[in-house]
Amino acid sequence: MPAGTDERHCMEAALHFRPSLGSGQTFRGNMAETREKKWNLALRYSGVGVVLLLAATMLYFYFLYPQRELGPEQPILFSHRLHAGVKEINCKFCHPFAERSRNPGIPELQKCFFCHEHIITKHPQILKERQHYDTKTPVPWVRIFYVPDHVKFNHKPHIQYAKLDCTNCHGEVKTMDRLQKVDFQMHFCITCHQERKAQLDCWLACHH
Amino acid sequence: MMAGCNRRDFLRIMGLAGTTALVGCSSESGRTLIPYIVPTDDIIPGQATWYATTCRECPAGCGILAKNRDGHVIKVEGNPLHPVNAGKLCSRGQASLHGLYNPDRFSGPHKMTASGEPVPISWDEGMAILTQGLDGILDRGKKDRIVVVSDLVSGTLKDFIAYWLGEMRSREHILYEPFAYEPLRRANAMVFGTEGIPSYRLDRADFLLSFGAGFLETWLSNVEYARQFAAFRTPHDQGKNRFLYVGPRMSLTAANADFWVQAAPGDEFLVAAGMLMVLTGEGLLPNISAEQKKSVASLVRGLTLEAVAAGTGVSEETLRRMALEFARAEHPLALAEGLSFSSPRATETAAAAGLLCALHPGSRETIDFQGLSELGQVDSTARMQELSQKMQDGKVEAVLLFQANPAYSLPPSWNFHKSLQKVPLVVSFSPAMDETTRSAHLILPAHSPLESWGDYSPRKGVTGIMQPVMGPVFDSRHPGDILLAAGRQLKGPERFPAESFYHILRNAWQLKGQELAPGVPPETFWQEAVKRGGVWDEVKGSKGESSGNPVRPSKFSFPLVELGNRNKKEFHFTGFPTVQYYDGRGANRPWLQEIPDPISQITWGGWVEMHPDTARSLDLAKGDLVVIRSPYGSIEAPVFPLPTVPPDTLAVPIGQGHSHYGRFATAEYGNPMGLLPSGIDPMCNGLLRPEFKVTVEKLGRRVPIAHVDGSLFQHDREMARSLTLEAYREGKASGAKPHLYLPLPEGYDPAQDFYPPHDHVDYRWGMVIDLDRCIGCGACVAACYAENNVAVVGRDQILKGREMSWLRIQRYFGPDADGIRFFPMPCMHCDNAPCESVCPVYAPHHSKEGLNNQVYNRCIGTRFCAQNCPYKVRRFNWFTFTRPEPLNWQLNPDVTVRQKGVMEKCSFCVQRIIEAKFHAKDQGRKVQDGEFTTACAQTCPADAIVFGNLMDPESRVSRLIQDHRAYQALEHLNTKPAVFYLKKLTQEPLKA
Repeated sequence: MPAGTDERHCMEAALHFRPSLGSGQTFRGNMAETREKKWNLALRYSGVGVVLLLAATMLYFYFLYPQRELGPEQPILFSHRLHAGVKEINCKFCHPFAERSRNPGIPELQKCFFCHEHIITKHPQILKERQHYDTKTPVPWVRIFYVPDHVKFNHKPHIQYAKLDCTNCHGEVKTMDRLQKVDFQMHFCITCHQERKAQLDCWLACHH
Repeated sequence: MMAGCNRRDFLRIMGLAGTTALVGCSSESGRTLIPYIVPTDDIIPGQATWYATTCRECPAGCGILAKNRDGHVIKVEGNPLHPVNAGKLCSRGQASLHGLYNPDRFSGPHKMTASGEPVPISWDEGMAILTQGLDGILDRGKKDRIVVVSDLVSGTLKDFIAYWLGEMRSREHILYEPFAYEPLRRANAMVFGTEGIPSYRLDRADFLLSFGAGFLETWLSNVEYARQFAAFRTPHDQGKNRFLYVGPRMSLTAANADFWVQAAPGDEFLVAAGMLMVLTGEGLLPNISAEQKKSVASLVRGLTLEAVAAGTGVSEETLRRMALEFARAEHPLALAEGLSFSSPRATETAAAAGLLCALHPGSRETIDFQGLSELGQVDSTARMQELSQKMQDGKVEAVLLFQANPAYSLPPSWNFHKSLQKVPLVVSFSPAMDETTRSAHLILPAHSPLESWGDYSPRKGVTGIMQPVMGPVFDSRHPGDILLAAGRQLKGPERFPAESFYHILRNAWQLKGQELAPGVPPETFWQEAVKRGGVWDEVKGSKGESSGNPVRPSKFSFPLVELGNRNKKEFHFTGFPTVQYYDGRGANRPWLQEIPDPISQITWGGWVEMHPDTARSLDLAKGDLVVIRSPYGSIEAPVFPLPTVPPDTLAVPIGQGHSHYGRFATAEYGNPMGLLPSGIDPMCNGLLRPEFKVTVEKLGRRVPIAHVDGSLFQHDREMARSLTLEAYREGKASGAKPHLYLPLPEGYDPAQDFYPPHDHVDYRWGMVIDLDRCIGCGACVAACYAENNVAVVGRDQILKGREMSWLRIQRYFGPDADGIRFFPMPCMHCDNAPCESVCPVYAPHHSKEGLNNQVYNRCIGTRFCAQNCPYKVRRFNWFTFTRPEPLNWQLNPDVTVRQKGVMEKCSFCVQRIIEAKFHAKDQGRKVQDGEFTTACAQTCPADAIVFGNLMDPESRVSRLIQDHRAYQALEHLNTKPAVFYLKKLTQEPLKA
């Protein structure tokens, strides 16, 4: 018996007045231990199961979900593939300020009816658009491309000075019905800035 | 023991799995893009459009350009073409945006309930109440029962109100301004035969004497006079023109004088009289006619030089020297404040100052009676007393209030609001609640001037156009349109054929075009005028020649001055206007509350200035609330010991102590009008200001005063330095060079510098601040707040030292508490920046163009940089400071709005640098010197700040730092600041 056990017994006895248990008195204790083990095992398996399930769900939504090629749904089902791709309308027809301002501009409702006054005027989506136009209610387009508020992005230098094509950042818009979000993380910007020896200064470039 | 999966582990695994799942499905932006239905011609998204209009924050009528970005006005700047302000603007003008976006503006028409609560109603209901009320009055058929009380309006709106009132069988349009300058107008009538206010030409003068006239704060046209003053003070071959100030308090204007002649309120007259006696008595001026001598004699009747010297405490020797300086100058100019309520004997003082100019033939060039100020059209306060009486007698049935707040600005002893309660129909067109509107029955909120069409002439020959610089922020209407609609309803469209006030304005300008530019098609004339911001002399081709003064001999019959004894327990009292609040209308603009008073450095509050010795003898400390009693009333204010007043004088600023002026006018203490009697001064028809003394009693409570200065003195640190004019000239003659630590590669010294030099490509931005030009007005600070989205933190945070200003103007008293130095302090953009080397995350870092960048998204808020900055220009966001809607509409989208936990500081307006570089690149060249400037330099009325490229040896900054006055603040720390100061030039105040 290691030294000090007696001492501990004495201490426990003195402090708690609890009789020490002999080896024959551990039956109930063993039963509890076995149940706990089983419970632990069940918990572990169910935990792992849930994790696997979640991972599978995540993987499904990330890679296999049927609409993954599509961007968010817009209030009016507008197809960039059709307008920019098939009909070959220049980007700058609808986004005319990209070369000369920070914001490229989004087309005013009136502009849609430059054509749709005459083309597929009875299409349900055009009728919906017409309703917006007649009631002077703007269409709340869902924003797809954006940078955080502490990034002061300006289209003008990218289009006018660097002569970038819209697709460099926005992807193959001409092939997409619903535009897909591009994740503009900082490395997205800085890689290009480094390659092209563009402004790399924090303040003078983006973060002022 | 077996590793069991307990509850804790289970939760841990589940948590991890949940996070992974969330990361997998990133949420959509939730942001929307709102298109125009039909595009507007003049808005390009993301680009600013500038509209010319006229500032209506005070009667000075400066021309402004409003920067509209995506439909919101985000900044106003002076119109460089305008003859009044030539591109400059004061802090009140900058803060006009806070009038436009004030969250306390009425959202629409309101009806006042019996308990005094405004209840929203529709415009139809509101107009119905107005027209029914007016209809009843017209039915009863009595004349002059409808009264319009407005601020100073001119041109088309004034004419239209007169026409409208004519249709309503009334002639009662009162142009009410608290600062009506009746004594000045009266004195000008006596001395020059013209009852009006001329244009003073400080830039043509070579000696300036001001009897209380605070022309750098509010007097007549402060931006114009600050510009002229800067020209007047520019050192020339013969030296530097002298400026003496006579008055009871060290005001901003007095602080810029060579010498402050301390004179108790009302004693300014005695000083002027003493000078007149010396001038005539000792024959200093030749060619004084016998009649002029008689005029002087009638003015100074009963006074002797000895008595004046004894009574005022200004020695005979000083008076003699002042007179001598005045006589010797080629074009001296004497100005008098001429505000009836601020000093007793204001008319006498103004007459004496006028007479001084009249006696000196050279003064005539400095006073231009051709360009009479519109302020001469303001009705005297006597007219308000008549109105008060008529209201009491029940002879007024309707009062329409436009931008006038007499219940606040008239002494409470008038009981104006009680008289107003006798009127059956009171309609206020005020955009926000104020003390007078509180007594109104109906509130029909008018557009702010920035939302309105109109015109305004600040003086003869200059007419500014006001155009809406953005759509209405609230459901308000143009005051002209409200009257027009009521007129149509009551009198039919035959009498009011115009569709809107805009059409009336266009018709008026068609006639104006025929008169001013007969050959020009009306449409072209109008378009050009709107683009330019108005029409002025140049259109006619005349250059506004100054007139000779039509001096006439006058006999003055002012009451005799009694030089009484002085009781030690009683004090002289002066209420002074400040550059930020004007007559009190600025008190609901958060910027104006937050930007410290130039002299006392106090924010958010009223106070009473008391000499420190007096405060000590009365056992009063900073913030002790006292009650100040005059024979006519009493006010409470916390004591602020400051050596700006003589020991026997108390001074309280005008403009605080509002009771109903919105959430920002919180300073409940100290409206000095509370000490004035209710009468009218028969001499000038202005407010009566008898000579009285006040007593002070301690109340036992203490109000913390939120002032931002650390100390009154420089403690030998030599921040704001000066040089005598002689030393400057000697140095210049001997070719002395300044000893500078240049923030350029050539400034690198291996013996001193630890870090290698910075290379700069094309540009190294720098700033030069000329302390000899800086008047300390704070316009630059306001411009900085507007340009850079600097947060307003409020009184409680300022008390904790958490103000956010990127640029501050430090005020230092001289070693013996004499003379004030102003020292503007932006970020120095050091070449060896102490902040850069201590940041663990490189949030402050040095740019290729020398700027000390603060990268907000990188900052983690250790505050090491602020600790290590010797200039204390870094500001930490203790909270995410927000702006109540719609104040946030003013935010500049080109500047990040900082949030909690982030350090910030002056950026040298990097967004303007970027803009200018794009502009230059479009034209295939480098940025040229002077092509753009920072917001502070842009607005400075004295042109004290110059910004530019230190790499360009021909730039203005590079040339200015060759001057041997140039130095850098705390340069011994080898921080190599890119902000250079030019020492102030001092001179003997009076030549022997």
